[in-house]
Amino acid sequence: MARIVFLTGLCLLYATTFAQVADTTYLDEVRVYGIPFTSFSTGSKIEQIKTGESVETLSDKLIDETSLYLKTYGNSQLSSITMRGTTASQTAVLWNGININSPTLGQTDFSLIPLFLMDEISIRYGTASALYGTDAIGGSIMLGQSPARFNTGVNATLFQEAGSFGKWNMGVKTTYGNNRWEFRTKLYRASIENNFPYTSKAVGYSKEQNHAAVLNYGFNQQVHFKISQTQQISLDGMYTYNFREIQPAVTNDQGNETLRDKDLRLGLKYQNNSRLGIVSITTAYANSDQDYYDDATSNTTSQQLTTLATMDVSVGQRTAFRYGGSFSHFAASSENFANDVTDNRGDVFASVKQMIHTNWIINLNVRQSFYNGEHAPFAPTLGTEVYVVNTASNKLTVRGQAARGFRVPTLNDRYWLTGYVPSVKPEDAITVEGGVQWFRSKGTWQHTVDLGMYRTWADQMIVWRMNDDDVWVPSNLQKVNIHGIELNAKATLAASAYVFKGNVIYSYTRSINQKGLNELDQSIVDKQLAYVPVHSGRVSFSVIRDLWRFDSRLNITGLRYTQLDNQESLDPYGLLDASIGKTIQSRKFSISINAEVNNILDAYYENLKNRAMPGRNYSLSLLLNFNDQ
Amino acid sequence: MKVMKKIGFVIRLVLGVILLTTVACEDNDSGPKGEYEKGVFVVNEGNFLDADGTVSHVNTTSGIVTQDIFGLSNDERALGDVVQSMTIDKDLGFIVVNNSNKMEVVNVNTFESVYTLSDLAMPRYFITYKGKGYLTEWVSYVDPGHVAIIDLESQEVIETITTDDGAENIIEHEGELYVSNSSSNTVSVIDPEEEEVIKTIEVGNGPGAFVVDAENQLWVICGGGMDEEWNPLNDGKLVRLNPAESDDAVSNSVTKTIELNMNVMAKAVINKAGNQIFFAKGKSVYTLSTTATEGPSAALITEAAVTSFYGIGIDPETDMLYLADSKAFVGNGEVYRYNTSGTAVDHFSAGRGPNGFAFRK
Repeated sequence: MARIVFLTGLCLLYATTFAQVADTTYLDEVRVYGIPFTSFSTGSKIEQIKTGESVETLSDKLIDETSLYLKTYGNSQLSSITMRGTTASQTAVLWNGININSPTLGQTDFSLIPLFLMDEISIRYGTASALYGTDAIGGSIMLGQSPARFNTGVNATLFQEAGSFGKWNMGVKTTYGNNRWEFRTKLYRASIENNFPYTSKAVGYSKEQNHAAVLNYGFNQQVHFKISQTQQISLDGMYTYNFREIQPAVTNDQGNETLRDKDLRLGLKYQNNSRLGIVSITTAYANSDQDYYDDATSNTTSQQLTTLATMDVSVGQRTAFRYGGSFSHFAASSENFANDVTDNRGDVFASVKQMIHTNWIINLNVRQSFYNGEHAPFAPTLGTEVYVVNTASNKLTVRGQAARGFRVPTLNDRYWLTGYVPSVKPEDAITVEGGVQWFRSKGTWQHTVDLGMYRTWADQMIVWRMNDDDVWVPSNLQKVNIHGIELNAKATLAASAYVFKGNVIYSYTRSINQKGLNELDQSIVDKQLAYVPVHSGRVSFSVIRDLWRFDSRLNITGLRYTQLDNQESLDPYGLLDASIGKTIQSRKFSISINAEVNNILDAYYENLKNRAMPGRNYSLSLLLNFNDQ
Repeated sequence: MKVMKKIGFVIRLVLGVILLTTVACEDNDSGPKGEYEKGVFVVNEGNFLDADGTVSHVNTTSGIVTQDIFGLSNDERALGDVVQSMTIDKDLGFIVVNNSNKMEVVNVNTFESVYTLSDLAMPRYFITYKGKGYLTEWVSYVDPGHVAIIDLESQEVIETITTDDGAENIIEHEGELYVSNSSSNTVSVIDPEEEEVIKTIEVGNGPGAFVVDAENQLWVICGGGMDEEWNPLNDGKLVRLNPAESDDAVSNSVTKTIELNMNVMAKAVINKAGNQIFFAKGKSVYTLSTTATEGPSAALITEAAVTSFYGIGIDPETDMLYLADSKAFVGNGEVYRYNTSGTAVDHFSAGRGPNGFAFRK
């Protein structure tokens, strides 16, 4: 059991030590689900997000809990991410280790990812194409399921929430596990009217948001089966439905556009802890069906079938290898393509991790990706970690990494009717980064301070621009140099009956465009990318006493340019949120009630120019847990 | 005598008042009406869905360019999403805001908002004729376009006349209204008295702007079409139409077609003398004489710094050519000025996505 906790912790901890990884191959029981995707991340920054206890979108959760900037087209509307000053397409989103960015658009709408259906979400900052393949330039978001624990008996969770502007959310989760099987079933539904009032200077008077209602529902079913002591098979099926009225700009009174998304994802994973190593094979199928309505309906569908196989081998106590490959087949259909299009992608990759000394690890990952007969840039990553101080109560880790990342052109980039340019090349980026993390625990005080710096040179970036015939076409025209600083400091103090928690996050991001519109144009050269805030930060403070809990946070987002010539910008804003909750516990039940006030200062703000966001709003939620054991 | 004197006094008084009023009126007319009484307006459509369209003002005397004059005069209000066009009639400016489905009517001298006409359907271009407003609208992405007739007193749409797909530019010529249907290949002729389409003329793919030449002939520029795979058909043309005549058989028919052998921006202007037509494509500006029979063999102007020209205008008094570079909408656009022989005069920044101009007369 100690080992189970040990290994579960492994995938949560960013500073994975070598010895722990080496240990995995000697285990009798297979407990490595999820681990393979973080354990060769020596030298990188990874954060974990708590999930499964509330019905909300990944977009809202990231906005609340991190200093990442999400460009949202309104409240609960389309939401795209920028990590470390890169574009929305330069973040890889992986589900059970498989890239699920839309094969047509090349990015993920974070408002379509329901937190309630996910067990684990981790955020890896920086370039990591060697591990995750295409798109992993600014960062990678890993969504997935936690390892089966078996013998859990019956557990059930019920979540209900009511809030301002017609918000009704509910979720049900049940799990059952015996010594061979584990079943998890999750269902959720979320809806909001979004008829919030706002006053924007652009309109000049107070008005109520119209045409912005959203409905989401979905379910997740997992079945884990222990074939033998060394073999396990897991099935993970997820279906989500989203319908939204597209929130119009503040100046537009009418709106008739709507978007309907249906996403089905099926994953089957087999693991065998053989004498030769751990074999892991995942096959996933994803089907996306989108209806965009604006006077008429335009339908886009895409299918993806991917198989990913890895082999983990340890040699002695100091060396670990992983190698493997993946193959994906894509198909897409849209009225914007002349015909239905298909695409094949293959990847081969290998990793080695070597403990030079008990306090020094180096890690090399390499990957070569192929798509439709072309090859992507060869992507290596070299990372290292040095444990300068390494005791149970005092750890000082210095890390460093150099990586090359790439992004292959999307199906839209290659087959969109109006912009058919078969010569579009993959994007290519190089990142170097370094950081230091200090963990200290002394008596009732505990803190972790993580400070990092990075530099990225991104070239051959694909942009769509109008040509001389007024047709939008893609080309590898953009080049961006990025540098930044990231700070994350947290502390906990236990004093008599109270526990105090504080956290400060700050990000400084300079993402500087290097190329003009043509050889003579200087208007966009040396300018910050649009919608990348130079400064963003978050301060949070919590007090816990017995079964009571108070949380507060202030998220600050700096000025954002809305144009690449930096002539227009959106004002900085601060969002102050607070909540108070109480948990009532009996032997098998626990009930938590939570009351929350968001945007207490009633700030009017915009994430995207002229898209209103709600002012002060309230919600009340109830979480009921049943545990048979 | 006394009576006469009194009458004389009254007459003088009345005359005096009249005179005084007249003088006052004249004072009113000749005094400054506002900052924007003279000069040129640049229509910046803004980035689609960003609602950041604006109008810039160019003071042609001082050379000062003022950005977003609507916001300046109206407490930072945004004009809206995709500012398509602006038409001036006396002291009113009619600004058509396409994706906000509205028309902002401003005092063109001060740019203060007078009223807003809402609930329109993808409006494009506007003219006034005999006290009524005529507004082209695409209606939707699936319906044929139409012309909405607007009662300028009650400020409402009173009638619509369906034309063809993508009702775009509109001009009054010899008592009839001509509408280019940009998503088709036709020009619709409307009798404004009967409020109906009296003729539909096939002209060429993607018809846009109209000009009237010195011979009182009407021209329409056709931008050209795209094949099924969105390659340009390179079939842009200038088409001359004769005005309405008593003989219905020959009125409103095509009298000359000049093949341009390329796709062009479906916008054109004509010089003051009415014998030289200007249009653009990409970084280049072209000109053709109204007597020409073939397309231009070379560009009049090619501006290497430009991304792509997106709007063209000509000052009706000075013959100064105005060309707008949209700069691919990634930042604010640039306006270039030339004389009609193609010599560069200067250039200056405008708002985002400049697409056209309106001139004070």
